[in-house]
Amino acid sequence: MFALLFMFFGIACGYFLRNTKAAAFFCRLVMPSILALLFCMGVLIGNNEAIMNNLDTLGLQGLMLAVATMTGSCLAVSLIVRLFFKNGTAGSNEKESASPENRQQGNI
Amino acid sequence: MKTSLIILFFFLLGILAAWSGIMPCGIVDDDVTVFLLYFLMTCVGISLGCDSRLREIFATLKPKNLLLPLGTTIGTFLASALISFVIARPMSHALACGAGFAYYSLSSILISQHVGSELGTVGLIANVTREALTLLLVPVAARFMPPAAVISLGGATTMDTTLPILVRTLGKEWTFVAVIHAVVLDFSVPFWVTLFCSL
Repeated sequence: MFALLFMFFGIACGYFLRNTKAAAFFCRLVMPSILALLFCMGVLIGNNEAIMNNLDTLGLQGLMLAVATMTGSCLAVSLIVRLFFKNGTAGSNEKESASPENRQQGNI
Repeated sequence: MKTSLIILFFFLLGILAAWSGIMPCGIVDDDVTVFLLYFLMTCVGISLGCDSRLREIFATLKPKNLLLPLGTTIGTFLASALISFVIARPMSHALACGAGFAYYSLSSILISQHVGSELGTVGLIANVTREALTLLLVPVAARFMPPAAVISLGGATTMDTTLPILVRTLGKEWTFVAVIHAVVLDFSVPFWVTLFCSL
């Protein structure tokens, strides 16, 4: 939740720094930071004995739950998009703002 | 696809580094991860702030988008109920694990307190896996799913850990859809988990 405050702080900074080299620099840091965060997540999981020692039994159940819930969510939301968002999906206000890729798929 | 492989590589590298003992607990701890997350969120904010479509991005804050967390909740619960027969656990326990919506820290603590550490571990693994799989699958999933369905994969994490990859893959206009989605789910986690644990 606290992370959102940083995002709004970033939006304010970005607004004042727009069209500067500093803003472009920070925009380029997103992907390397994602990778660094993933590496750290991996280290935390690898060091978590509750997870690593139970991978064969509880891990399989957890994996099945994760895959099932993700599939379920995705199907339910796809259905909602089809039923309620016929005129432009959630992220787009106008049809024009849709990316060509999405428009090809007929989702927007 | 390439992005997913790079993400998988770094994630596995982290696990391997910890498992082989190169990276003991002390070097990378929760504080480092939290700092990185805040830095990343600031960068995402800056990239939004300097975007010329900022006004359009904010205009996506629409009440109708509240239907998406509802869909994620229904889909997650139906799937948890179904999978409870496969993993041979009571339906309420499977629902409690699923109701973490990838928010593993809170849900696993609640489950451990109310039911026991064994189910707490299942909940922890289920929700950690959901977060990790979301990070991994977003670039691939975006090719054949509606963007809103891609967001639903991440559950309650789509306003922090999985937001950057979603914004990068789906586009900045999806930022606030993902944020609203996660805020609603985030608040509902303690309610649902406690409810299902008490059944």
